[in-house]
Amino acid sequence: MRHHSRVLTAVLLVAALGTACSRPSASPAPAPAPAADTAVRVTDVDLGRAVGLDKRVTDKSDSFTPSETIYVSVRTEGSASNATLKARWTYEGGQLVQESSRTIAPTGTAVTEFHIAKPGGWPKGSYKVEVFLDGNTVETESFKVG
Amino acid sequence: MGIFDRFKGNEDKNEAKPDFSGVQSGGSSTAAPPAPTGPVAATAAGRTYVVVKGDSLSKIAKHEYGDPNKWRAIYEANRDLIKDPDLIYPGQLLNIPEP
Repeated sequence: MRHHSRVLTAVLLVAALGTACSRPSASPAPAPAPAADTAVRVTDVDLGRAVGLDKRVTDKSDSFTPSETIYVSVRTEGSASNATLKARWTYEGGQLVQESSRTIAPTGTAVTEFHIAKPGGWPKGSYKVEVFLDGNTVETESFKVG
Repeated sequence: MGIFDRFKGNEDKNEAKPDFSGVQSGGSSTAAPPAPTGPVAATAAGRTYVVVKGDSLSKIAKHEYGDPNKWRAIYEANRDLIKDPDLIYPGQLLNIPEP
């Protein structure tokens, strides 16, 4: 009789554990994230007078002469099927100089450069270039022309 | 200083605002452009290059393609801008065709 009750207890315990394990969890696991489409981020922004074949600035500077072409190089990490980088160049109190954008589909590290030139020469003064990623400001660099 | 003078002063400030209408811009990336999502017409490559002092077409070809001998491709893509391949000017915005 004692043996029977032990067996019965063991059976009930196993049944109870089985029920507990098959019960749905209180907080379901989050759905898998969509394929790394929002993982692009800007990791570096450089200003300079020239870029190399790899689009990186080869002659960094934040001071230019009126006749120079001004480059900004934007390094990104991550992958996306569609990411838009924009450079917005402004003068002194915010007067718009130029705005240009580039839509890319990076797969890992990528470098995108933007440049501006003014054949008649840049007015002397303070300038800024604001870099946007998908409409959000990610970096602002200041420079001077003198 | 009277009201008129102050108004005149503001007017002078507005006149001093520089004109950026002639600014040329461009850009390029090591990343590929997004794949087209629908039928699109063939378009010219979006790369551009702003000529700087001391540039020549072969120098630009070396910069863009790694091969100075490919200068003719740039020349052909910019025939409307370049009359003489030996004469390009700082500030000129050239289209750079895909190699």
